[in-house]
Formats: sequence, structure tokens, C-alpha cells
Amino acid sequence: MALEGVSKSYGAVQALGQTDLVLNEGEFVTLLGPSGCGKTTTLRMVGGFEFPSTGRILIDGRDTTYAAPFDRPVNTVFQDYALFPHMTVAQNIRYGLTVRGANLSPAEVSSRVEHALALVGLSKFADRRPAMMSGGQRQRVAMARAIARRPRVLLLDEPLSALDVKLREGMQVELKRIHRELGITFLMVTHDQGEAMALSDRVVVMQAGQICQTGKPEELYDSPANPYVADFIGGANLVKGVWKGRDRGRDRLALGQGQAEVQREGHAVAGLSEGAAVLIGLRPDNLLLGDGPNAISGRVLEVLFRGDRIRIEFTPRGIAAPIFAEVPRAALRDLQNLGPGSPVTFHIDAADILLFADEVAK
Amino acid sequence: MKAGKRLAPFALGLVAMAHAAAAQDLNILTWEGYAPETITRPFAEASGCNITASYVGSNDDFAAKLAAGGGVYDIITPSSDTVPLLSQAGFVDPIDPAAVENYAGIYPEFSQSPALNLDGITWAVPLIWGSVSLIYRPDMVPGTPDSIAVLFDPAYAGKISMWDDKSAIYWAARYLGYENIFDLTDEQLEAVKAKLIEQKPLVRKYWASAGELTELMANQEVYVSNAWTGLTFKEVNGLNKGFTVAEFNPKEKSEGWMDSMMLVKGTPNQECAMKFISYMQSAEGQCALAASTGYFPVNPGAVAACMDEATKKERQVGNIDFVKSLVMWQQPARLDKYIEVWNAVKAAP
Amino acid sequence: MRGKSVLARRSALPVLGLFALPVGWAFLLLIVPYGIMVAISFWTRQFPLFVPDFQFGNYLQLFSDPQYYTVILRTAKIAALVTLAATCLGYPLAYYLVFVIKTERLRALLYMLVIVPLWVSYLLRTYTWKTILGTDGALNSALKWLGVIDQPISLFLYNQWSMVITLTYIFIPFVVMPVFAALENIPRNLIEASEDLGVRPFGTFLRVILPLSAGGVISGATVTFCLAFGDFVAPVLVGGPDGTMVANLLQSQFGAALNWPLGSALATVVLLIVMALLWLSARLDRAGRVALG
Ligand SMILES: Nc1ncnc2c1ncn2[C@@H]1O[C@H](COP(=O)(O)OP(=O)(O)O)[C@@H](O)[C@H]1O
Ligand SMILES: [Mg+2]
Repeated sequence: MALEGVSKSYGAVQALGQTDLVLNEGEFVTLLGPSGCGKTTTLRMVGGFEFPSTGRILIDGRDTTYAAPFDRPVNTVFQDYALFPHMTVAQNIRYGLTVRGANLSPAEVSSRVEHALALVGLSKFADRRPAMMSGGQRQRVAMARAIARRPRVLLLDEPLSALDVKLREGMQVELKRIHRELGITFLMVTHDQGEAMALSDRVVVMQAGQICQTGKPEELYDSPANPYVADFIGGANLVKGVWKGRDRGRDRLALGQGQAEVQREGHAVAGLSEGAAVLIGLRPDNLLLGDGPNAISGRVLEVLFRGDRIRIEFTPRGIAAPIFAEVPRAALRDLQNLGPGSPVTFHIDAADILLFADEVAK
Repeated sequence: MKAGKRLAPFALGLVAMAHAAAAQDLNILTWEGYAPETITRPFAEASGCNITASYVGSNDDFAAKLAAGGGVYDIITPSSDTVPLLSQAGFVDPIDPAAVENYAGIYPEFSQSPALNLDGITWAVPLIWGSVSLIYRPDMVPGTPDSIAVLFDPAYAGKISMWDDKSAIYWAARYLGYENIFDLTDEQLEAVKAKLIEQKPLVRKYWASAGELTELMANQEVYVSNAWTGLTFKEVNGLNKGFTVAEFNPKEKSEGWMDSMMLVKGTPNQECAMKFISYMQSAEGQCALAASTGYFPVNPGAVAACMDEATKKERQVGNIDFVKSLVMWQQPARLDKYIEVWNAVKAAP
Repeated sequence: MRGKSVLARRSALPVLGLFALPVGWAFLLLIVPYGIMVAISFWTRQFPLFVPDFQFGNYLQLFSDPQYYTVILRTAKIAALVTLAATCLGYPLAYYLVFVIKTERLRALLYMLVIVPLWVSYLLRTYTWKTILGTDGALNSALKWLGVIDQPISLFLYNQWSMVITLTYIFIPFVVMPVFAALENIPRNLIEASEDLGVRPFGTFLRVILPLSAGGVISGATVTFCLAFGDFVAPVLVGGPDGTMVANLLQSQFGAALNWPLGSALATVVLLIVMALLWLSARLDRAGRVALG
């Protein structure tokens, strides 16, 4: 499936800018971005509920840009499930199988219903009405109903957002398993980066109707294309700094008023001249307690208990904004009385420092 | 009868209940057009009694209204054929004729009628009278019709109307040649019923009020009907619709009616009531009512001075022989049976 | 414990007082009259009066004399036709308003136009149909002007069809209102889900929209049937000689015929029919509601 130069405007509002996206057979791709960034719009155009303002949508090489929803080999798992309240679970699933185009014998229909129910573990609930089921169960029915049609692409709009945290984690595992068992291409929409990272083969990060970066979860985490992606995926302390030059594969950077200086290992950022303003990304996980290379010292503002990890907020010397670090609880054993006001020093591996040109400063 | 001349196009019988009577009030249950300002105002000045009028759509409404709770009305004005029923039911008090001024001037044929006087007791005082004849469209009905047969003629299918009233039985009975139309036997009633049901496909609409018949005629919905003599044909012709209607008395005779005043049982306003009954026998009362309704006065002496000669002739003043040319309404011997037959005719498919 | 019960008693009094009025009112003006009506239906008529009694003659008469049961059946037939016609016209109208009209303001405006006749006197609206359907009426004039006919057609007025047409017009808003509400309450994503599952718009209508708006149809149809069943104005204004309906019969039993016992028996039968209908409708509606959860 492919989007070619697709965009969508509602009057003066551009919901989605020119977008290209190719989904490979059997791939699990997630559109990730904050609310209002155009994810649902994109999904709805693939489903046939909206028509693009420009561009084409190809499914299996066929142009389906303007095809009606009932003429597309895709199915949608709606955000609030959209189960037919006047039908039982089995009837909901059978609904899409008895249409003229499906060409299924009654026996095939039954076996598909049973199979779909078994796949989501709801065989016992075939005769229940949706109203008598929990949110998680309804979610599974919605899944079963969509996949019973054997679509080429399964579209999922925030499939887990209505579930509580505990259930959501369980369903993530289920989703992953179902995807693996079916081998169908999944296109999911979510604003939850953890969910996107956990489930997807590829994540498309979106912002304000534009794709910022597309890649495997670890690529996005390791080499975010811009500060926004860095912060959105995994989170990052973004600190203004100055680029002091590069030698032997290392960037020399001054943080804040040059009080802290770090050496960065990694790819060169194009177009930087000495003294250029840069944004330096420090992931909380990568800040290690204690002195070492690329050390930053300051005073603790707050210590937050997070179970196996402790979140420390501190003000580094010479830098206006506070920085967050997350350290394993074990690392804190020796520092029993770390509290607000205590001096603290972190260091970071040169390879873990993220570097971006500071677009705003230019 | 002769309900609302040009008022409600139909009679629902939904009549505003008069409020409870106060000392100087007089509540009359009567026909529309029977309590015009030309009567109520001079009467109030002369007597100090204020009239509040409520209206009926048919003679059958009087008993129905009194049965639903009397005490609200002081005087009712049913036709003479309904008078016996009301005294029989105990809804009214007798009247002392000696207390009615000008009583002697009333046609004795009316005032002494057995319908109004039972076992030497007077129950009602005549008020006004008139007839029911046939009207038709000369341009649509060829020749000069002279028989009730025109109401049953398939040539006028869909263009015939009849008053929605048990009197339809009287018309059919006369058409069938029965003499005793107020005391038909069961077989005769069956024949009448069959005739009326046979007539139904020819009938466009049974009219419920004079106003409705005028409308039916004016809108060319019907060409023949029975009608209040003098009233409907004048109204329709007065509309200048580009056609006229004419009246005639069939050879089987037209019908005559006479409305009378009765005193509701136990009325607290007896004094005002008696004043009203007397007033209606005066020149002012008789002439005002005759002028307001177009019907005929019952007290020829009273109208002698207040009516011109042409009107007197038109209103049959002094021509009591005219009454003999009519079939005067009487209370059917089996009123309930007649009403049931008429309802059965209307209910029939 | 004691204090609590005193408190409870104290607060119960005003509450009782609050409900005593409406309950007493309902009892006095609804229950008592029905009781009286049912009691009188067993009385005997002794024309021109009636005497208290307990006998079933009146009911027997209703079901043995054709003049009564034919009218009941005719009334049911006309009410059923009106219900059918009003539903068949009102449903598409409501559908059009909800699903075809795109702008909220136009929808509100058109909805108002459907409802606004209810503010106009019922009599006036019925009377208007007389002037439309009559021999000299607007319809005949229009047909003559168009050259379709050269003689006015009298078939338009004073028969059962004119009653059905008039009552249908009168009661369409009573169908549109509940159906409109039912259709508006259908989540749009159910319709999208249906199309997503390969079902075309007409199939979606039959399998999703129609079942989910059945509650509105049931309540609209019930109201229409009951009101049409009890109508007495249309027969008088636009009905012909064969147009007598139950309400006219009732009116004449309590009026001209002076037969309250029979009238009460008839009214009791009508009441039972209407109550049976409301019960059925409530059951159907409840069944639907259970299905919808
Ligand atoms: N039907 C519509 N009419 C006008 N604007 C819309 C419509 N649908 C979405 N939008 C706008 O398009 C943008 C993208 O919306 P959406 O795709 O729903 O975002 P997301 O799913 O990422 O939260 C938002 O600014 C939203 O307000
Ligand atoms: Mg969304």
C-alpha cells in the first residue's frame, strides 16, 4: 500500500500536508504524533471515509483514491469500536462476511466467525451483546470483526486508548500476536510513543500534518532526526549550546554559558560553523550518576521515586533550565541522603549525546 | 335545528359552559342566532337581567346537556317534538300560562298543542317557528322537481345532501308513502333504514349545520338537499356565485317545526326566566327574533305593528293554514329507536 | 438511632406533601372518572334515563350489532392506513433531515418547518384540506388549469381517502419527531463501520439504520395510531357519509342518543384497545432497548 503526495485540507485548515508513505507486505506501521497532527485524517483517507485533496492512494497497485469504503480491501478497527449494538458478537463478525462481494459459503462464513473469535479468545461470548461486555472484550470483537474479512491492510485508530493501563499492556501483547499469526499489514494510529515503539516494525512520527521521521523504533530512539522526535520518542533534555568545532570524530560543545563542556561522538551535523547555536539532547536514561567524561554538575531540585528507577531533577551550573535524569535505584544506594539542594554530578557517554542544529536560533 | 347561520361549519357540541348563575343572571341554552344583541340589550334594560347564552347543535343536545349536570341553565328552547321527552325525563318545571304576558296572542294551534300541554299542565311556551323544505340547483336539475324522490335519484349521485339528524327518517318514510311517520312499525323502520342505506352512495355529505349546507351549495359540492326554508337559499344566492338555488315544497309535504321555551327544573332565576318568556311574546321580542333568524313569529298580534306587510306575507303571519300544508314535527313514539336507526344508517359502510 | 428516625420522619412529611397534590390530582381527575365510566358501562338504559345495574348487555350489543363493530373496525382500518402513510412519508423526511442535509442551520430550519404546523390550530389545518380537495378546490382548479381534466373530480373529498390524507398530513410531525431523534442518536461511525465491512448504503440502511431507529418508528406509529383512532374532526370536516369513526359514535351516544351506558361500554372498549396498543408498543420498545443495551 502506498500514499503518493497525499494531502488533505478542510477549507482553510490543512489537516495533512503532502505525504508519501509506503507500507510493505505484512508490516506493522504506526502513525505516531500528538493529538490533532493528522493521524486520523490519514487513516480515514486510507479507509475511504475521506477523499484526499491531492495525491493518490494505491493498494496492491490499484488506485483506490476515490473508491468507496465498501470497495477497498482494507478494514478498520474504530477507536470506540463501533460495534452494532443490536447484534450479538457473532452477528457483528458475520456482518461483513455475508455481503455480495464476499462470495463465501455458509460453512466458510461460520468457520471464519469461529476462527476470528478463537483468535481473540472470545469463543465463549459468541451470543453476547456488545452492551454486556467490558471495554477490552469489545476491543477484541472489533478486531475480530475487521480481521474476519481478511483485509489486505488492517487500520487501527487508537485501538487501545480507551482501555485502562493494565488492560492496555495485555492487549499490546495480543495485538502483536495477532499480527504475527495473520501476517496482514497493520496501519495503526496512536499518540502513545511507548505503544508505538513496542508494537511497530516501523514508526512514522508526525507533527502538524507533516511526517517528521520514519524508521524502526530503535532508529528513532538512537538517531532522532530533530529535537521534536528526540523528545517525543523516549524523551530528552534539550539544552541550548554552542558548537566549538570537531576533531577526531568528536564534536566539542559548550553547554549554557560554557561552564560545562562535552565531547560528542557520532555523525557530523551538516552546515555547522564554529560558534553556531545548537540544541543538545540528553536522554534522562543516559545520564549516569557520578563523575566521568562529559560531566555536568549542579544542585538537586527534586527526587521522584519511580519504583525501580529514580527520577532526579537538577539545575546544572550555568544552564538556565533544569535537567531530568533517571537512574536505577541501585545506583543511588551509596547516596542515601540525596535531597533537594544536594550537589550532584552526572556524566554521559560521548556516543549518547544527541546534537541538532538550533533552527530557532538561526 | 337551524344552528349557526354562518358560524361554525359543523357542530361539535362543544359549548362553553356558562358560569354559575348569580342573582341577576339568566342562562339560556338555545340555538345560535337566538340571543342577538337586539334581544339581550333591550331585555337587560327592561328587566335588569343579564343573558348568558350557550348553544346547541341539535334538539338531542338539550337532554344530553341537562343529563350531564343541570343547574347551569335556566331556560332551554327545544323544538316541540323534543318537549315531551324533557318533561318526561324530569329536567323541567311546569309554567303557569297566566304569568306569561301576551300568552293569548299566540296561535292556539301552537300554545295549546298536546306536545306542550300534558294532563292540563303547560310545559312550554312557543317561541318561533318555520319549515324544512327542499332546495336545488335549477341549472343542474332539469325540469321542476316536485317530489322527495329527487333526494334518492341516482342521476344526482354524489350531489345530494341531507341534514345529519333523525329527521332523515321522516323524509325517507314520506318518500316510501308511510303516513304515520312518527310512529313507524319495526318493519317500516327497517324499510326506511334500508332506503337510507341505499341512498348513502348518492350522498356527498350529511350537513350538520346551516352554515355547512350553505358552504356545500356554494362550493358546488351538492345540488339538492333538505334545508331550513328561507335561510339557506337566501344565503347561497346572496353569495353571487354565478348560479342560483331554488326552494320547493315536495308533494309529500315539507316539515314544520316550532321552538318553545322551557323552564329548567329548580332554576334559582325563576323571576328573570319568567320575565324573559313574557318579553319574547312582546312586539320587541318577536320582531327582533324573526329579524335575526328569518323564521316565523308565533305571536301574530305582537308583530302586527313592528313588521311591514311584505315581511308579514313572507313570514306567513296570520297564515296558520300554512301549518296544515306541513308535517309538523312530533316526538316519535319510540324516540330512542329512531335515533338508533339513524345512527345505524350513519355507521353503515 | 432515635435521632435518625425522627429526622427521617421529619423529612418524609414535606416529601409526602409534595407528592400528595399531583397524586391526588391524578387520582381525582384520571382514575375516578375512569372508574365511573366503567361502572356506568354496566348500567341499564331506560330512555331517556339510565339506572344503575350490573349487566353485560351493553358490551353484548357492541359486539353483536354491526353498527358498532363495523365502526370500530373502520376506525382501526383508517388509523392503520394513516399510521402506515405517515410512517412511510415521515421516515424518509426525518432521514433526509438527518443524513442528507449537511449544514446544521438548514437542518434546524427544515425541522422547524415540519414542526411548526403543530402550532397552527388543528381545526384550521383540517379545514384547509377541505378547500384543497373540494370540487371547487385548489387541486381540481390546478388540474383543470393544467388541462389534465375538464370536469372537476369529486373523488378527492368526502370519503375515507380524504380522511386518510388529512390525518396523515396532521400526524406526519408526530412520526418525524421521534424518528429524527432516533436517527440523530445513531453514532455515525456505525454507518462507517458497516460500509467498511463491505456493505453498500442500502444494505447499511436495512441492516443498521432501520433497526436502530425502530424505537422512534414504534413510538411515532403508536402515537399516530392512537390519535388517529380517537379523531372526530376529520370525519366531520372531510369525511363522507361512510366516514363515521368511533369518536363520533361516542359523541352521539353521550349526546343525541342519550345512551351513556352504551357510550361508556364503547369508551371502555376503546380504552382497552389503546392500552393494549401502548403495552405492546412499550414491550417492543423495551425489547429493542435491551437489544441495544
Ligand atoms: N471534518 C473536519 N473538518 C475540519 N477540520 C478537521 C476535520 N477533521 C479533522 N480536522 C482537523 O484536521 C486536523 C487533524 O485532525 P486529525 O486527523 O483528527 O488529528 P489526530 O487524529 O492526529 O488527532 C485537526 O486540526 C482537526 O481539527
Ligand atoms: Mg485521532
